[in-house]
Amino acid sequence: MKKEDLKKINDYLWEIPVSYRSDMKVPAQIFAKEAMIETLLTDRSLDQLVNVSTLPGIVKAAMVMPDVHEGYGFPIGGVAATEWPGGVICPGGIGYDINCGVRLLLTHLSHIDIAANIESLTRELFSQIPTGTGRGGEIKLSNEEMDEVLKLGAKWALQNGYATNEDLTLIESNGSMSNADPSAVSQDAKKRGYDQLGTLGAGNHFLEVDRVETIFDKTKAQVFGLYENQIVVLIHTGSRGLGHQVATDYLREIMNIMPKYNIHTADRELASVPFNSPEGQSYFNAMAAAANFAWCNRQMISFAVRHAFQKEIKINGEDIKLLYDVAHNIAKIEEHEVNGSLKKLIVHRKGATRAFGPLSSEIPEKYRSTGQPVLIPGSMGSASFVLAGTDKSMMTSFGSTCHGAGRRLSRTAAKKQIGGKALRDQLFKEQGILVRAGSLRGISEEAPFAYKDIDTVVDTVHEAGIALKVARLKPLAVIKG
Amino acid sequence: MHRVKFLPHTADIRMKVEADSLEEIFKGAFEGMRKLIKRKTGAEYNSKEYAERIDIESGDVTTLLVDFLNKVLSLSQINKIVYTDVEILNLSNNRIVADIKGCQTNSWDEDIKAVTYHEAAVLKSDNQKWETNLIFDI
Repeated sequence: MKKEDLKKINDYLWEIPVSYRSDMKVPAQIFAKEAMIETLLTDRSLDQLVNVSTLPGIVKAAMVMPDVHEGYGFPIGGVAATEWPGGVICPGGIGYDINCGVRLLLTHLSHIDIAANIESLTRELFSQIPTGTGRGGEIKLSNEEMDEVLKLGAKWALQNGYATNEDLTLIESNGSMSNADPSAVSQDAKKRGYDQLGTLGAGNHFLEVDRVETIFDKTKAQVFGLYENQIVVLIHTGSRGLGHQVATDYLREIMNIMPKYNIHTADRELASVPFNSPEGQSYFNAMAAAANFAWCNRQMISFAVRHAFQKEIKINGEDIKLLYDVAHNIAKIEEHEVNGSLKKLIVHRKGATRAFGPLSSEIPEKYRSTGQPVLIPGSMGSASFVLAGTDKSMMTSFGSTCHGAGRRLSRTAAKKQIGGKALRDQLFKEQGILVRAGSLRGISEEAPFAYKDIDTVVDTVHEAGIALKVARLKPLAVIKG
Repeated sequence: MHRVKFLPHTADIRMKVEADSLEEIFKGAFEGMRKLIKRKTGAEYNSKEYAERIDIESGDVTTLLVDFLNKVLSLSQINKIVYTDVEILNLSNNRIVADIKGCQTNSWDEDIKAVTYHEAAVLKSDNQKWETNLIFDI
């Protein structure tokens, strides 16, 4: 693909028309500034986007956000909506880490309040929250408990004393998708996840103690409860091995059963079935169960955070409030305007975050004046952002925006440039960031220079109007695998 | 005989397997994944061995290879075992029966989410060697 194949719609939106390839059902749209286009063409992400545009039942356009990069089937940063109920559901449009997502916790503390204890706090967080490969949590779920977690999601945490009622109101879907069916989740998936509740995992998953560095929108920040120099905690993790296994199981099953519905896709990882088929329903209900596991997981980690602050900073842990928790790998049934009328759709977001605008009945009442909080994590050592969803995103991107920065360097290349110890020392010396990780290798692989510039990505979605900047966060401490 | 090479990949891990036979492709891929899961052997490999039999069917030989590796991965994560040995009892384009053996471990070097189908294509090259790429989502 060449730049000439793309048509510029405006300064932030490009389109590959259906004439580009005969099997495209809708155009492919790219939210990006012109300066980004050449970089986007260096991997296969836009070819993957064209493949997505061929899915049966897809409506309006297949879309990617400015942090797009090559994935499996769907590009990462991809959004696609199919007609409910007969359009397809595509596990590749959600990804292997079902409900990988982010939540932000707010304290009433300022930087100065924790400066003297940041080291002991970081140590306590690292001790309380299992990170890294193969490290399970203290909770070992019985078969019955596992099914309850899968059915209830964050509600299970509430029922067992790990959450407040208010917490649940501030999680996407109140932390629980009602169609979740534990019987649709395989025994292998349940066994993989039985000791993983309350764990972070490895790779690019992390927990950060951040400082609010900049407020861009004072009005929205006030509603969100954000102010300059405030201490907040950002958590990025997903459904762990359970979700990975659900995705693996159903991708295999759907790939095998697809011919029965006369569906052929350009890529094995785009395997799809009609949403209203038994297999489609089974996957959606298993996906919901895995999503519930992830919401419960992030809630359990939040409980540990509250506990750690209570112990080391001597505050009441319950004074730490949740701003919001949002998924960036999920499929949801939503209503959006298509060709002038409201349609019920199956919206796939893979490496893309929901960004519902003001007045949306789907978002908590307290955010209906501002739009839904959108949480965009940066890479280790770089900034993260809080944005707000907009009406424009509802009209142009199925209420969606970006999810992060995306890698630009391989792990091998990053490790060659700097060792883990050197990077850890550099981050502390130059930026005052404390890093506690399960391995030194894990630190160098996640070096900030291995990722694209998050500021450019966030500026693009802001200028495109599909999410508006509210605050910029800078890390003080990072815990990872 | 088989040969395993790890190739550059921006976000995850790309592995190329070349082999003299179909059976060796499966063995090579198994061994390559093992090296990702646990790079070096240690004292745990002198401890008790655990065995599993895998018997799976798939639509074609490429999906069979990916499905086989995913099964090994699942068993590894569920049982907390690094599987180091494989004996293939029966192999066709659509079915594999194999015994795998390994020892318990309390840590991994890589937390593999899944073996993907991306770029996987078990084919004979011009020099009559079997080869395929495999991408591991980590």
